[in-house]
Amino acid sequence: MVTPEQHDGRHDNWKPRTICKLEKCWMLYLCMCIILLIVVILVIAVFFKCPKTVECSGEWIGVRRKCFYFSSDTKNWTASEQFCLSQGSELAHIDTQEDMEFLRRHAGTFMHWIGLNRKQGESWKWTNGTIFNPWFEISGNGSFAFLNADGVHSSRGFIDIKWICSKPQF
Amino acid sequence: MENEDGYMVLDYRNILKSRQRPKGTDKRMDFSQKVNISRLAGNNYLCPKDWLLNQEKCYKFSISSKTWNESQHDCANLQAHLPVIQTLNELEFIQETLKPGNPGWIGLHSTSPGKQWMWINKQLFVEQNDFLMIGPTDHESCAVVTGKQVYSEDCNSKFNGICQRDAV
Repeated sequence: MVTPEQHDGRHDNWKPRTICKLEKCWMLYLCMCIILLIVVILVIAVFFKCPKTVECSGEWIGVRRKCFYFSSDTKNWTASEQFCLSQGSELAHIDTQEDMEFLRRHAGTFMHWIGLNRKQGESWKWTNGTIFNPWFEISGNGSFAFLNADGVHSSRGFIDIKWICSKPQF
Repeated sequence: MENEDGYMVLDYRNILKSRQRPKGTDKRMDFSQKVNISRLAGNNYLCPKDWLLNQEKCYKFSISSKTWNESQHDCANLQAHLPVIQTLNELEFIQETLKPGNPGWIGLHSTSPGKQWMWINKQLFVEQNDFLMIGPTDHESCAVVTGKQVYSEDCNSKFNGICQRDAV
């Protein structure tokens, strides 16, 4: 493979050895590149699969970056919030128009509590205490919000209706 | 609101009067829209199509959220009214028919705080063990019924309506 005639012959023993070494290294680099490529492909595959399959457990529904739970039972607002807290979540906190549309479509004609309430004379707040930036309308004079396909309405909070819990997905 | 109420109650009375007329003269009882009369019970009581029959009364459960007044108007357009519940059986029928967590307005309201609850036919509401009102009697309280209980709500909140009329 190595031809001594290429060189001046001074280091006949040395040169061929170097070329051989380089060749081996090249092979090694190629191998490493292939392994690296496989690892990258695996990582990408895992990344893309994860949010769809793993994060929302049981009866929770994964939508974008959140998991939602739609109850089949009915409770008043406070008891519904207690239920959500016991599941490491909160009564539905809705950030985006897309999520709102999803929830209303999924709620159908049934009334569902969400995590908005207000004290008399104060503005609506989410259950984590942040003030509701009114990007959707809440009908009526009540202090507790619920939604169905028709929109978001308010109530005095005593009625027993269904509820929706939400938690971030990560 | 109060004018509205006065009007509603009057309207309801008119319907009652018209019912009391002898049957031969009362053309309104031929249920206007579709004459196909669907439900037949033992004693030949009839309800219009898409209405449910329970003990001489017909019921229609709406699925659009409206205020108490709007629901009452909708019923009036169907020659009916929000339910006046006179027997435990009526209450049970309505509660069994309502889907879980889908409250419906009934014909029971209180116009001033702390005052008596009154049915839309002007009868006073008498609380009983099996018919309790949950929630405060604030200004403009109207009653909704769910599968479990009867609740006091703000009349401007939006719930489904229930219409009731006599069967023929």
